[in-house]
Parts: sequence; structure tokens; C-alpha cells
Amino acid sequence: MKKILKFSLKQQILILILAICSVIAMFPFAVMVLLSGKTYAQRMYSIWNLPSPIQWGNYLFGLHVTMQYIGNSIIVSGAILLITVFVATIAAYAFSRLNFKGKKISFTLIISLLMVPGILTLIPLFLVVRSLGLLNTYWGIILPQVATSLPVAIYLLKTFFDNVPDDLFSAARVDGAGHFKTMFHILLPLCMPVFSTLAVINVLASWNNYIWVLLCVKDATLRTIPLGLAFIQTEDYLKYKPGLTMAAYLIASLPMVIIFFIALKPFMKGMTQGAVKF
Amino acid sequence: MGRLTSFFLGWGFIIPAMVLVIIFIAWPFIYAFNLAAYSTNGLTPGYFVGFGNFIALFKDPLFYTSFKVLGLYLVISVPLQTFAPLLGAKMIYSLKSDKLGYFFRVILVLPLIVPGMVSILVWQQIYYSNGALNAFLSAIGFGQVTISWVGSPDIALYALIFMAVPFIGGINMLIYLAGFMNLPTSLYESAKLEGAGWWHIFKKIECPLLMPQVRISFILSIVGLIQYYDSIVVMTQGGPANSTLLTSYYMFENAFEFGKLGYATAIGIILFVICLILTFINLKFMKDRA
Repeated sequence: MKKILKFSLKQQILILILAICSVIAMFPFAVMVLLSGKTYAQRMYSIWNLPSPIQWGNYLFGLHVTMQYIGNSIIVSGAILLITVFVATIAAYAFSRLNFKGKKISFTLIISLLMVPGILTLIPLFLVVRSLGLLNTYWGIILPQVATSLPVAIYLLKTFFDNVPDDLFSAARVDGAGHFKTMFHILLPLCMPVFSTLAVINVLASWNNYIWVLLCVKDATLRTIPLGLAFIQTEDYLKYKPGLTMAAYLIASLPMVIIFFIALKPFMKGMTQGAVKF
Repeated sequence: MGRLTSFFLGWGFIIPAMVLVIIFIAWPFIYAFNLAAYSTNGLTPGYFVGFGNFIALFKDPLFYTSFKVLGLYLVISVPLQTFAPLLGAKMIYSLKSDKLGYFFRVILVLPLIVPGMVSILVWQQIYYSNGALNAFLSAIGFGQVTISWVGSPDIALYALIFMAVPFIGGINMLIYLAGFMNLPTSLYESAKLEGAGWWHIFKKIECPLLMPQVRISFILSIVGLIQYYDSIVVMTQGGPANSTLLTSYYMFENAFEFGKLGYATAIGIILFVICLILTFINLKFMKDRA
């Protein structure tokens, strides 16, 4: 506080405006946190005062109902990330470092698919996935999202590989390293910044995906966080228990928020890079 | 290395990516144009109608309603999403303290980290007729204006747009902030020597130099908003009285509520053409910038 007083008046006004905006931005989450600790009676008495006593049981309930959704989200987002990064890395390596027939046209195809909006392919994709027998399976949730994130990933990685000096590669080849060895020992350590950018945009997208999972999944046991939470809200036995639903939302929000704060710097950098590039 | 070897090696490396994008993007894309020419519920083969779906669409009053809703939604949201983050980035960039700047940047990005579904569901709780917003209004003496915010046709769409309050954060702010940080400092020094105020600097120097970022945010916002329907699916289902019936949701509803897959795909194609035109404009600008 003392430090802020040392700033000029202009700076203080700026800080005040930003602080007000921050409070507004946090408002819905504050409502969530406040309500999550209350019973229905406490909520009807007042939304705004701090819950007293705090209903710790709400959080146990929240953890109980969302655990499976969180687990599914981790499986799905993790698989999407790993498969995307692996498939995109070997493809980008070939596009950047190898010469073969059909290279140009296949690269053009992949990049031009960036212009296909998800809204157009949603319905036919549903029919394709159904005819492949993948509806209501993990693969059905995962593979279409991998495909969607591949063009951006391949483009980012190819651009990066193009800028790696040739000497590095020829040195490795002289040493007799094969393509996989070159990739894993020379390129990968250099690639970490690109990978973290990819990881951030990729995981945020799949973690938030609601519509595709809604269409793909029938079984309650396959629901990811967004789908699971949307269902919790419609459950009859939770109708007059905002404390329990809010606690569930809060618990379901925590994993990503915790990862965000643990890896704050790479996360912010990845989001900025991902936003600027596309 | 022989040409044959490099052919097989190259294709060996790209084949997994090619298979995935062909099955899950390229094929559905081509399939869409076929599907739009059929009247089908997706379970039975259906029958060929040619352009029949498009003709029916242009006679469908709800389709026009949805375009009106989409138009209003874009007219309000696009400028908000494009220019409010520019102001936000400017404010953060103007802070003398790097630590405070980073702090506000983190706070204003945080809503992107919390699952979008959580925001939607919490806002639903806030907008209920006996929800948090009305309780707040009653508490400060505006009890007579309490309503069900997403339940009234005149207000529902605005209530949905308002969920992005305070509008200055998000991805677009990060795009602008990166733009500000790349501006040459020499510009500021000469401007300050001439005694230019911050508004003058903002209008005459920063905004013109950040035009590429403004264009990208603008196009990305439009293309993103045209395809958005998550909160409609969860909160309003297009109601009340079709006041939140975005075209994207009308497509979703036709496909998965009414089982009119061909008809819905025809709507998707029209939205695709709009997105395509905007993407081309975007690419052209990107090329100009490079």
C-alpha cells in the first residue's frame, strides 16, 4: 500500500481502474466461493456474508461427484496433447527436413484445413465417428480433437524446424545419427518453448470442449468436466442445494487453476505466443 | 539416400497426421456438402433434395430471426472484444511497476483458466430470479428492477453478452500487450520531447502501429462468435421467445433436437461461407503485414 502511494496521481488512478476491473472479473468466482461453503438456509439469509459455519461437507460432496469427471478430463486432455505433439513433431520434421514426392501438396492440404470451421464439420463429423463405431468411447472424444489441433501444431513446429541451422543437422548425420535420434537428441531440447506454447493452447482447448463431448458421450462414466458439470446442474436432488453444486464447480475448477499458478511463467508465455501466432 | 527410401521415409513420418486430418476434418468437410443436399435424420438414408434445403432455409422465418439475433450479438460483442482489450493492454502497459502489471495481467487472464462451463453455470446462478444479482440490487435499494435476467426476451441476449464483463482481458489483451511491447521506445522519446499527452500518443502513434493486431482480433472475434453456442445450449436453448436464437444454435437445434441433419448442415454451409470470406480478408491482411 505504501508503495502505491509513492506513485504519481495518474499511476494511482490507473491502478484503481485496473483494480476495479479485476474485482469485476473475479466477481462470479467470488460468488462461487462464497456460496460453496453455505447451506440453502445460509444462502437465503445472505449471499454476501462469509459462510459461518463453513459447510466443509459441501467440498467432500463436490470432490465425490467431480472426481470421475476430473479423471476423465485428465485422460482425454493428456492423450490429446501427447498424440498431437508426437504426430505433429514427426510430420513437421519430414516437412521441414526431408525431400519426397507429394510433400508440398500434403503440407498445403494440412494448412488449408485451418480454414475449415468446426461448426461446419460438427454434424458430418458426428456421423463419421458414429460409423467408425467410436461414439461413446475415449477414442471418439480424443481423435477428432487431435485432428483439429494438428494443423496449427504442424505449422508452428515446421516454422521452428526451418529456423534450426543446417549445421546442427549435418553434424548429427556425420556422427551417424538416424532420423529419430536426430529428432529426439537435437531437436527436442531446442523445441521446449514451442512445446510449451502448444501444450498451453492445446490443453486449454480440450479442457473446455463441451459440445463435442456432449454429442459423443452417452455414458456418465465418460463425462469430462464441462459435460459433467452441466449435468450436475440439472440433477433434481440438487435443485435447492446451491452450496453443493457450487462446491462441485469449485473443485472442478481447481486442477487447471493450480497448474496455472505452479507453471505461471511458461503458462502466460505460452498463451501469449499461442495468441500472437494465431 | 535413394529417392525411393526418402519417399517412404517422408510418407512414413507424415502418414499418421494425414490419416487423422483426412478422416476427421477433410472427409467431414466434403461430406457436409453431400449431406446438405439430403433430407435425412441420420438414421435412415433419407432422400435427395438438391438445393431444397437452401430454398427451404430462405423461406424459413426462424432462420431470418436467427440472423437478426446473430447480427445484434456481433454488433455489440465484436467491438467490445476488439477494443476493450486494447484499452486494457494500454492501461497495463502504462503501469510503471512491472510487478503490478504482471499481477493485473494474471488476474485478467484467469477467467480463461477456469473452465468456461463453470463461468456459464455460475452466471446462471447469478441471473436467477432469486439469484445473486437480484439480491444485490435489492440490497442497494433497487428491489423494483429485479427480474429473471435470462428469462426476459428484451434482456436475455444482453445478459449473455454481459457475462464477459469487464471485457478488457482475455486472449485479445495478450495479443495487444505483445504488440505494445514490440513498439520501439524511440517513438515514445520523440513524442515526449514534443510534449504529447498519453491520449495523443495512444491515438496518433500506438493505434496506427497496432492496426495489424486490431485487425486480427477483429476477425478472430467475429469468426469465434459466429461459431459460439455453449452458453445458449446450457442456459437459454434459444429462448425466451427466440431472443437468443443465434444461427449457430439454430443449426445445433435442427440437427440434434429436431433430427434434421441435412437442413442443419445447409445452415452450417452458410456460416462457413461467411467465415471463409472473413478468413480470406484476414489472410490478405496478414500477408500485407509480412
